[in-house]
Amino acid sequence: MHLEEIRSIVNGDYLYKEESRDLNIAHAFATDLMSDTLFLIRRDEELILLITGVTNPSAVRTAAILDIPAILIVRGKPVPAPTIEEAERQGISIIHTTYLMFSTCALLYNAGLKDAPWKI
Amino acid sequence: MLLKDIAQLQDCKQLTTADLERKATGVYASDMLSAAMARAEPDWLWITIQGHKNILGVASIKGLAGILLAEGVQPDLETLAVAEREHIAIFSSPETAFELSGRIYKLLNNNGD
Amino acid sequence: MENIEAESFELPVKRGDTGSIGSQALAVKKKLGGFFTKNDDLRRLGVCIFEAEANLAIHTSAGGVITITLLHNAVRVTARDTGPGIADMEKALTMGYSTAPVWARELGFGSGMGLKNIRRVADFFDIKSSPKGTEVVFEVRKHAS
Repeated sequence: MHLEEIRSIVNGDYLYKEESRDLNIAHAFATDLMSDTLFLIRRDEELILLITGVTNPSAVRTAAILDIPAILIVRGKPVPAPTIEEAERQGISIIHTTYLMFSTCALLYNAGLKDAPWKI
Repeated sequence: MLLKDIAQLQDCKQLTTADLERKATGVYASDMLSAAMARAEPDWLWITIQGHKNILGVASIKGLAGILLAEGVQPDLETLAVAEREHIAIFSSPETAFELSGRIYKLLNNNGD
Repeated sequence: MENIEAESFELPVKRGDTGSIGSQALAVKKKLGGFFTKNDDLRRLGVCIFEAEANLAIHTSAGGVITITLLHNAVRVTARDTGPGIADMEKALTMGYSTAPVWARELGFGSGMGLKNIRRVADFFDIKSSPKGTEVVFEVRKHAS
């Protein structure tokens, strides 16, 4: 699913890197705990979207460590400048939505976006 | 949607005694306690991977219908004992919050809730 | 940071500096991109250093230091601090057990998986702790493509 389609489903805004709208995202993973993302398994370098309510720069760094190209920040909290600056440094797209986590995941899942592979 | 529908999700485990006929009128997903405290509504189901004791306080104060722990998280025995005493329904599923949200959304809509 | 030919280099982490968590991990990941041929090895290293950084920022009284050493076929990382030490090591290594304060949890940390992640993901892991301080050592080895 292209990043632009994802953005449109959750009525989101690009906070950074709208040029990435054509990125083809294969999977999504949703969490508010950064360590949790580190259980993700990367298969065949498919692109993963990180869905989170965390607005601080660590979310961007977590994505960068895992080569995740885009983050969808939910719950509508304002995203501070340091986070956007970090996204610019790392080249990671940020989409921001006021939709809550449950609705965001539910809508994307039912639109066909797949769960990301992970294991304990 | 009833708690029964949650209990019947594939591979879902019921960890405490629960009134399975209780209705869950909505769902809130977050791993941050303050977010759940602020936005979860009474009689909603809370999806999270936080398994520590503090989740019980949130569930009680907000009058949640229950807690659904994702990614196979299970609270320790002490937490489960307190949950039993406080009559808090706790379920655990091996699926991620993303997947569970997707499936439960369908349940909520199918039931016309 | 010193150039890549140096045998080892040190990265300080300040207590309470949650805003910077992950910055050292990313810096190392960028720096050592040529050391590993597999992306997966590099990511594992990044993951482990990220967790070590988070622990030093959140759980110490005075922060700590991460030392990166380049070995022939692996990167060895040592994360050292001066206290207060891990009270219950068995619990600390149990999934989901966290002693993180509320302020850390609200920032997306404190899932209780940090040390477990390192142990699971690294090729070697060891930890020693006393009230005088904790030392975590781990290695990520090069794997054949």
